[in-house]
Parts: sequence; C-alpha cells; structure tokens
Amino acid sequence: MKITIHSGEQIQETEITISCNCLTPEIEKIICVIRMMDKKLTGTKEGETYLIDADKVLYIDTVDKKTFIYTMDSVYETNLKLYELEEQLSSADFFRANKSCIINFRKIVSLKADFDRRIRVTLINQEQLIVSRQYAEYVKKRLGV
Amino acid sequence: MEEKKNIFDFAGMVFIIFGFCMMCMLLFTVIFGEEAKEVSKMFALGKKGVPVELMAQFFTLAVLITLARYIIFSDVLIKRGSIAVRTAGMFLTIIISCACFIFAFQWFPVNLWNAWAGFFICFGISSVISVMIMLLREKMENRKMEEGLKRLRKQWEEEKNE
Repeated sequence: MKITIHSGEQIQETEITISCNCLTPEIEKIICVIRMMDKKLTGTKEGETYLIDADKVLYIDTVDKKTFIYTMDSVYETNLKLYELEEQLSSADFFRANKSCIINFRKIVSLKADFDRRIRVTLINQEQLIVSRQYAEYVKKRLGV
Repeated sequence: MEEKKNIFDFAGMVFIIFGFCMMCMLLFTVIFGEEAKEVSKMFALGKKGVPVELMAQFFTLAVLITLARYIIFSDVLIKRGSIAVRTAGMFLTIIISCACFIFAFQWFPVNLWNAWAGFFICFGISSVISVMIMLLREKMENRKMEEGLKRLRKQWEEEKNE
C-alpha cells in the first residue's frame, strides 16, 4: 500500500483520498477508523452503509463475534471490534459496561445498584443494560460516588 | 479499572463470617455457658471458652456459606434471577446448612423444641437486620448515583451552551 502525504500552508481543509482497485474489508476498516476521528461511525444496515453520529449512539455490543451499533431507532453492523471502538470513543463519553458492551454515558437516564456490586442502567429508550462489577467502579468514579 | 474476584476475596469473606460467629459465640459462652454446658456441645467448656472442634465446624460452615453466596449471587450457575429470589435462596441455603450442622454435630438436642425456637428467632432477627442494612445501603448508593448523574447532565448542558 502506497501512502502519499502532501502538506502545505495553502491547504485549508485536511482531505484524505483513498485510491484502490476495489473496496476490501481492510480498506473499509481504515475508513471506519478515520471516520471515528470525527466522532462518526460507519455502520451497515440491509446492505447499505450509513454514517452515524457518535452522539446518536445508545450503545454498542458484540454478538457472535459481530459488532452492532444501536441508535434510538436502528441497529447497524460494523467491521470494527469492540475494543477498537472503545479506544476511539472514550473521549465521547462511551465506557465499557461488560465484556460485550460499551455504553454512551450521555444516553443513561437512571442507574440502580444491582446484586454482586453490579449496576443496572436504563437508557433513554428504556432499555436496561448491566454494568458488571469489574466496570462498575469506573462508573461510580465518573459519577463522583 | 479491572477488579476481579480472587481467592483472597473469598478467604476475606470466610474470615468475616467466621470472625462474626466466633464473636457471638464468645458472648453467648460468657452469658449462657455454665447453664447450657449440660445440654449443648457448643458450650461443653462452660464459660471457659469455645471448643476447638466447634471452631473447626464454624469455619467449615463459613466456607460453605461463602461458596453458596458466590454461586447464588453470580451468573455462574443462575443466569437469570431477581435479587429477591437470590436472597430467598441464600437464606434457605443458610438454614439448611445450619440445620445439617446442628444434626451432625449435636450443637443442641434436636428434640428440644425451645432450642429450635431460639435458633429460628436468632436467625430471624439477624436476617431482618442484615436485609435492612442492605436495603439502606442500596438506597443510599442509588441516591448518590442519581445525584452524580444529575451533576454530569448539568455539566454536559453547560458544555453544549458554551
């Protein structure tokens, strides 16, 4: 893969151009990572690719090694792994809730202590998710508890 | 961020239960030791102290209760279960375990109804107290978390308006 970088004072806006023979999964992954810099995620639904604003995402989870992005009204699939998304989205107030899920903190409406020091969170769509004991400490710290 | 249960957490819990039981036993020994030494093996030494074999029995019971607690209050075996069901399961396990130990080690004569009544009264009182403490702690924790979330929301709103 050839990488060319042009830099100059006359360039007003950063532009990334990808030239390829065809879109391979690797190139799609590169595009996803670049998009995430702008707090935008790339997800597919019924064969079509969508750009999703990170602040529209409620949570992201992994089922059968596939990663899904949940918004208020849709579910999208993404090529990225959960840990890659977690790394990139931590600055957008996303946090790891358990082994298979990361949650957008800003979409939480209420929290309740559950057994075994876990936390049950309710999202704006009334869906309830569990923050495991391992990650509950981070949530409490973030809440100043 | 990661905090996993390990053998030290388990041992810590065992010693908390064992220590509490021993503390109660020492108190009961001083108060009822002399009167009860004829009928109960638990008070065989009168008010002089707690027999070593009883310590070993209490330690075994503490290990069993901790093990049950880890199983009941985790998703290892029970995948879905409300707090109420798990708590009821825990109390039932403790009653059955204690009853087995009472029969096996003759902590008191099993045909003595008032001894059983005493056991259930003590168990009932301590259960009510522990449930009340648990609920109070949970309520306080929930309130603190809600307050924290409100604070964060206010902060996010301010960031948005800037």
